[in-house]
Amino acid sequence: MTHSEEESTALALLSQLSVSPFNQPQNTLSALKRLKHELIGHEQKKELFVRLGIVPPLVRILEGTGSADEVWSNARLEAGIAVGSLAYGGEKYISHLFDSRALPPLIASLDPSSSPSKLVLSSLRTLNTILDTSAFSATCPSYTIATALYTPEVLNSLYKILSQQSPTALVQQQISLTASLIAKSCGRYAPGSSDNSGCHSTHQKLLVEAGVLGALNARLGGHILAEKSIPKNPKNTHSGDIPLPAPPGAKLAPILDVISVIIKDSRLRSLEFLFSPSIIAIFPLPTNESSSPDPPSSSSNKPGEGTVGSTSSINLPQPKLASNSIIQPPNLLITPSAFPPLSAVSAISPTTPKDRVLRSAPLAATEGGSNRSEIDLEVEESPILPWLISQVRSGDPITRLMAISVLTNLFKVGLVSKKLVQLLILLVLPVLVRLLTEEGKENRVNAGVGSIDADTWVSWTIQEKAPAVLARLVMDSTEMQKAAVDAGAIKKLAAMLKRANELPSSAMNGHQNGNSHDSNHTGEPGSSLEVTHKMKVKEGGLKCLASLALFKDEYRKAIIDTGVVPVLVSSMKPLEPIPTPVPQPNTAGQGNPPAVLTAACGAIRALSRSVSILRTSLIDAGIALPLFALLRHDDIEVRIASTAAVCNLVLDFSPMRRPILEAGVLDVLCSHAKSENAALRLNALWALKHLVMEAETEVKRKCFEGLGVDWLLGVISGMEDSIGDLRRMGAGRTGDEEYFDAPEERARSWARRFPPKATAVMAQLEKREGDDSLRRRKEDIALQEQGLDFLRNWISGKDRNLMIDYLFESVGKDRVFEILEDKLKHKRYVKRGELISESPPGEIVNSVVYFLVHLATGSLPHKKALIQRVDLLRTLSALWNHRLPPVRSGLAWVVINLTWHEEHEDLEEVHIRAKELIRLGFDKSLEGMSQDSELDVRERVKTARHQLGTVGPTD
Amino acid sequence: MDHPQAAASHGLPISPESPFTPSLSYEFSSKRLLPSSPCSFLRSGSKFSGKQTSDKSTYEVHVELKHVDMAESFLCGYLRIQGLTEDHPTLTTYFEGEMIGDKYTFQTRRPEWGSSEKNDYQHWARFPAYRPLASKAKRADFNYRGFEQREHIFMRWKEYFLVPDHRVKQITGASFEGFYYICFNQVTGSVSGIYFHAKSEKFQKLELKHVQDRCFGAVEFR
Repeated sequence: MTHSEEESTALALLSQLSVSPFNQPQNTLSALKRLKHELIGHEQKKELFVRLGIVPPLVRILEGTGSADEVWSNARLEAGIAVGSLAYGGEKYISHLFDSRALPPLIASLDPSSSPSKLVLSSLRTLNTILDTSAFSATCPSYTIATALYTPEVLNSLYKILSQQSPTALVQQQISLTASLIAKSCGRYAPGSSDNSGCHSTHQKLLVEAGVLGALNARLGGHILAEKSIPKNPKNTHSGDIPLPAPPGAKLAPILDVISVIIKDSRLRSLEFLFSPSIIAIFPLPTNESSSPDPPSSSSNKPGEGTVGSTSSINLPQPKLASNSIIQPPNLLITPSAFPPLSAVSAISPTTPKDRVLRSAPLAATEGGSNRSEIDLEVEESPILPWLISQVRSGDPITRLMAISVLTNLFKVGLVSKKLVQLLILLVLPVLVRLLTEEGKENRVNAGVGSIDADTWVSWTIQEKAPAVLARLVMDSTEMQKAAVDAGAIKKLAAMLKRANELPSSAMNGHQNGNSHDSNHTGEPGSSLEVTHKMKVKEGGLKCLASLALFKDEYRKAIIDTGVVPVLVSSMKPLEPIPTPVPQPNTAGQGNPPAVLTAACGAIRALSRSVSILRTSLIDAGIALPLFALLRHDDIEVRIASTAAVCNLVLDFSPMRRPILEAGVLDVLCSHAKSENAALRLNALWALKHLVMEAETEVKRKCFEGLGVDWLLGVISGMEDSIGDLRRMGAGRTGDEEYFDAPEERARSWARRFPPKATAVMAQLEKREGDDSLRRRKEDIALQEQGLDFLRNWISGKDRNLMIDYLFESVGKDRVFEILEDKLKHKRYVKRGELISESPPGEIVNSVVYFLVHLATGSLPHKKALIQRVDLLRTLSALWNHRLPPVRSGLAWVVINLTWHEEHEDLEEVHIRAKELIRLGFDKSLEGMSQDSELDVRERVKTARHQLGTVGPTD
Repeated sequence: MDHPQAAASHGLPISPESPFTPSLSYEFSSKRLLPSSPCSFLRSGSKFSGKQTSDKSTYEVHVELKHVDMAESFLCGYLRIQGLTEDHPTLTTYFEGEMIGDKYTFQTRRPEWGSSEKNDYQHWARFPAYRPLASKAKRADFNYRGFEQREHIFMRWKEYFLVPDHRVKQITGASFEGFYYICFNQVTGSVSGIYFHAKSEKFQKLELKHVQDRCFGAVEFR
């Protein structure tokens, strides 16, 4: 056929589809079938048809829901397949499809009650392909898809798909693809959208509300039953919740994958998974709680249907179990809360005195913003954990990986007991490290995607996800880190990263001719799918190196020794060059999407926690300027991560401080410090705090002016002083009691579905996880600390007298002291009729004390100014038994510095200050500290008392 | 005296050493690497000065600590020595120190450093503060527990490369291939050391005093 012949055939087909396709459905159907054969696997024809305008008629047909006619259904199906075939063609077709509004009918066709089964399947496949192809696309179709998916109607369609009981292969495929679709789209918020800033879990919450998590739990239950018969239990009141065993051919991996995505980083959702009815029905709790149908204490009251309008409406039945909760049964798990006692105060009302013991947070001794003296919640460890571990040990590679992913997320939120954590270290983690080099040939989970065959798809998925899961598993656990390093993770990761960093190879052609349903397609080397894959591997691998390198120099050096640093450098090259005042070295290699840049910055940050590496490998590799450029990247996450790394690069011993300073880092940091984003503000101020250490006076002055006096004081004063801000951020739910008494409705619905104890814990967690004001308070305190430490460093060094003068002049001496006094004050307020006295957070006290230590090394007028602040000094001397040792020794240092006899100073001045300190009670405080548990405190106290003249000479 | 720092009654102990930090994001650790110094003299930025003496000569030495990580029994810093060679009136090296305690033993156990157990004991024995420990320290299962709260901290300091240019490997007339046995006094802030290198004069002494500095900069790796 000649080209023009092709074109005329195409035009004929097109006109058949465009001109009133609804009148002659039969003709339309046969035209669509011909079109399908023309399209599938023929790149050039796709281009031709798209150019001639095939998409709009396809979209119209796909939309046409009017008739339930079978012919019409088939026509819609064929149109859906044709759209899918175009999507397989790659990014440019996808963006064309989006421009032609193909997404709404694709999404609408997911409803199994109005679309033929095969069309649902085809649309699921198409959406999955689009997400796979464009994970890092600049036009971000994934955000558009996510926005369209996460609505109650569409989620209800997905719920319906997942809840289908038919064992047919078609339905099982639908279920797997739905699970994958959710896993890939969940959390894809468009940058700058309001969802992106808050708790990062809007999608997850919607999924839970739509019942999707429950449906997935039932599917998981089916898989468990397919291999494990449950003992008949006549007492089992939950028999109705027992799901049907999964049919042969149903895939477990996608279910585990999506469950791990939904429960990620939320203890509440993790509990909703662990204690869901289908899971409990299979693995009854070890206590008799769930099987006692009518506990005596609540015989007249169904759980959760007490008085409406207060928290006490969650009427906890207290069977024999109540006594158990004091003496912890072996399976009981303690979960420390990540939140301060603010919420503990509002704990749901106790129904027995014993219950109170568990939540006995010492109300009078709370410390704002710190997480000590918090209450613990306890729940039974779920028997599904050992089952998941068994899957890790026996499943095919991808199922193993997904089971590890679920276990990892449960571990991260503290729902794995110590005993089982040891099993994770011994049995699970080594499997995960082995998976890093897994080729994955055993079991076909999904058909390949786009031009990739199924084997390749499996092995790619493992290579992409295994390092990312490992990164999370080892993140803050030195035990896990050690186990991973011992298992050889560093070398494997380095090898993976080096491979992923190579330019796309032509070797991929072999795979691309594989058995996928788009079988005649031969992608050119470096197709967008392969690039996307390599980028995902880099992202996961770099994150994992970051997690491993944070705490031990040995591991950092081991990473350097693998020669992976050049990969880090080339992973900092953005897709689009960022204009900078200094010329950038022209690094070879491909540009990287934001997620990879962020991960690379994370790895650099971890490696730069070493003086030695800063002075050798990192300076040699020339990371300073590429990193500097990323400070101005469009993506907020990249800016946050690069600023974090810069904190270490501008330390006084870093050889990169000067080049970065000369490149203009000061202005960038001052502007980031005022960002809307809390993490960016914190990192920028942190970096500036380091930058003024041992810096030239001129640099210090510029930092101070760049931030501005008012801004700096505002930060240090904290949010109490800026109610307007608070309101704007809090959207009206800042810690008011109504909010703490939150959703009765949800509590009641939990009480119907979950065991009472789990319900109680979940009600607690919902308050905490849903409470933004706590998070903001902590962010605020962290920023205050950096602000105070900035000033503390700023008034130290050779030019300190000059700096203190400058501070007093620009702020006003009294105002400086007033702010500091305020920082040390207890906050008193009434909550639920009780007077609460909250001591200031330890880190703030520490920063204030050391600011004063520095101030006390100033000139005579500075010391005089300080010694006149009677209230401040009285508050200070009362800190002699503060819980933090550095605060106590800092107290001694204030005395030492104030009574230090400087050269050329009149000894009489020293005596006057010493007398005043004694008058204010410092002699008593120091005496109290002379038996301190810390050697350093005792020794500094000796010196301080000696200088005060209250004891004899120290030896 | 009782400090209310024990949160042990609440199950998993929540260390006061790790107050909350807003995270970069959930994807990266937000655990802080808070500066941990057992005493006011052993912290980043702390300076010491004194002498290194051999039979024939005396050199002026300055040490500045750059980072102290008690969790890792680790410190590092710069060691500046004056008058070692004519071409280089001052030479600065980067060194790392390992503290004897629950992570490192009195036995060096680093073959590449060229010491032996016997040689280790010979050197340690030169410190009066070591003598009460001498017999126990030789036992294989000896663990110098709670070392950070004792008056003396024993360490080994090993120089690794030159500052500012680490790529310079050779300096005529100078070598930093050996290492120091160190006894640090936490009460006075003084450092005693003995240099060891198989090819150098035996038992060269290092004596340093803390340089008065009453400021405490806030430095914390992010």
